[in-house]
Amino acid sequence: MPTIRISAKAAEVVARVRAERSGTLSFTIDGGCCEGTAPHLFEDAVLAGVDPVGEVAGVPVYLQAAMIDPFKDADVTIDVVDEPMSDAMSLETEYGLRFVLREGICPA
Amino acid sequence: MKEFGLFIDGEWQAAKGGKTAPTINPATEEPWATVAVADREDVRKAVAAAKKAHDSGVWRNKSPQERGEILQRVAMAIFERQDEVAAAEVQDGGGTMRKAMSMDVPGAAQTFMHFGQFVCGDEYKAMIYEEYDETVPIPSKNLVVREPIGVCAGITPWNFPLIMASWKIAPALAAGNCVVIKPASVTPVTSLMLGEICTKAGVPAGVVNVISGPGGTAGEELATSPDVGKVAFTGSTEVGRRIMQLGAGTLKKVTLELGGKSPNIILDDANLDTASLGALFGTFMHQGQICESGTRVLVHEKIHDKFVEKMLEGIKRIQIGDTMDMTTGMGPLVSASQRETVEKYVGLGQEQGAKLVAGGKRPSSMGKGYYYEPTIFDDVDNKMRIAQEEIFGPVVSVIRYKDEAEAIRIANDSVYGLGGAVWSSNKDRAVAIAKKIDTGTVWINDYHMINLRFPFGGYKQSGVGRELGKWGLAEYHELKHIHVGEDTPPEGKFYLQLLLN
Repeated sequence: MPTIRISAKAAEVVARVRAERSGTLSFTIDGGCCEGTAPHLFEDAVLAGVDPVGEVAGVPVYLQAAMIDPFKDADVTIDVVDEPMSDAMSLETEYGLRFVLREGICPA
Repeated sequence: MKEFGLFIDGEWQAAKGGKTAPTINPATEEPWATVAVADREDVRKAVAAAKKAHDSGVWRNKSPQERGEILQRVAMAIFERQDEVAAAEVQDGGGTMRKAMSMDVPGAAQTFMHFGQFVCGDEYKAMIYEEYDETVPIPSKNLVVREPIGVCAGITPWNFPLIMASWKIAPALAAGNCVVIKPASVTPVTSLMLGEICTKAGVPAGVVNVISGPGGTAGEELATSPDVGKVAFTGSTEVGRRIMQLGAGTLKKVTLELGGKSPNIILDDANLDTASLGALFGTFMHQGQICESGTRVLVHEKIHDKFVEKMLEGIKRIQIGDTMDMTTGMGPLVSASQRETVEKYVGLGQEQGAKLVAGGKRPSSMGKGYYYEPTIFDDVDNKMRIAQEEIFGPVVSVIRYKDEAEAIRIANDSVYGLGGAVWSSNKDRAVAIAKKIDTGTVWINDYHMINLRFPFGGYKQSGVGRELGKWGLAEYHELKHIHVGEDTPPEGKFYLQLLLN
């Protein structure tokens, strides 16, 4: 199982989203064109019938099935950066922020 | 600094909230233009303009011939402004002027020319109107017609902004639809220009609308709007998945062209001089920021050493430099964050035991700009993260194989299925392998040679539906069956007995 952590700053952003949304939140980690592998925070997402691989800030974290094997020994931290013009549909983008995935423990 | 608004209903407009954002030149790291940022209300306005234009019949009621002629004029108008458009594409996205003048501008113009000509021809006539005489279940004439969907949204990525916008606009308009285009927020300028070019070339106001805005608001508004009938998206797999979910609420038609980790298979009988350079072109063209890049080069063990040697020889011929200089082959990556992503994966590759044989660092020759050297990893295991995840940068993984069966197994051991190639002096052998690779496009002895006449898209998690060619054009139509029954007395309608005594 991978180790998935969240930085204090990113956890604050999750708390802000939770205060403003009524749906079920989930993180998914997936890759693809243009952004590399990145975490996405969605409300009421339809997930592909897989179990979460962890939980951060009270939100379950899902990996797309194909990522489970490459990630089996991964130790990653969900952090947040300023990104006013993100095209990801992740919920924090509304605040001009973007979650990113850092390898290992995030210093801040 | 240049300023661009939103292009809605045939004219430039400011965003309702007055918000603007700078767009950064990746080669200088300096802003070069400011662009209006659409919020949800601006998007609704653009969709309303498109819907009004569609409902008025100003475009859909034109004959295909009339529409096709206007699209051909758009193609010529793109060429007329090629210097300005190419310079904007280079400054927005960090590609080279060499690529902009030989790929982006002609590629965009040819897309309009191709679909414009196609809908003027007999093949399109036959595609949108078919007639069948039937006797069962009852005598009838049957018409199968294709009609425009209505308002189509196009959401495009930052790697080929002008061509991607053209791939969405040209077939949509050819089929009689109206469009709202949302380019990537970091590269919006040439798509906005294209909106104006279309209108000046004779496309009526409201038929083409272009707005720039963040994916989370502007993109989401397009994907959920009840007045949008179809969303065509090119970009990341996760965003594609989200667009499909958001579109489910209003049962939108969706076409998605997503990520890739395409295999480039070098057989032991390949011309190694050509294949080694083709492998470099397949991965380092536009700094590797192409969805169908051949980022996994599978090389037969017998020729492996010689092949890698030739790649290392060839890589010396790639010149990194000023994007405006026509001798430059490789420019910067699109953004600082994109370069950070690449650096992270290069670190991961080394940690997981792949052998770095070229690149792996920022070039010392460039003081500014998000440049990164073309990077080759040898001895890569297909299970490593650099072989499974899309990096979208100038990083290639060389993977050895023992026999054809193993090459095919490795090629298909990916969640993606977009592109790929086979290099061999035996075409039959190469075609047999191509048939066993689960991807939407396979080139033999070539790479990146996308042809507007043929379908492009992905198997597996690389997408849904196809773009380009008559197959891509078909996706911009609704299909209707009109049953023309005979005008008879009630006795002629046998089915009435099923209910009536």
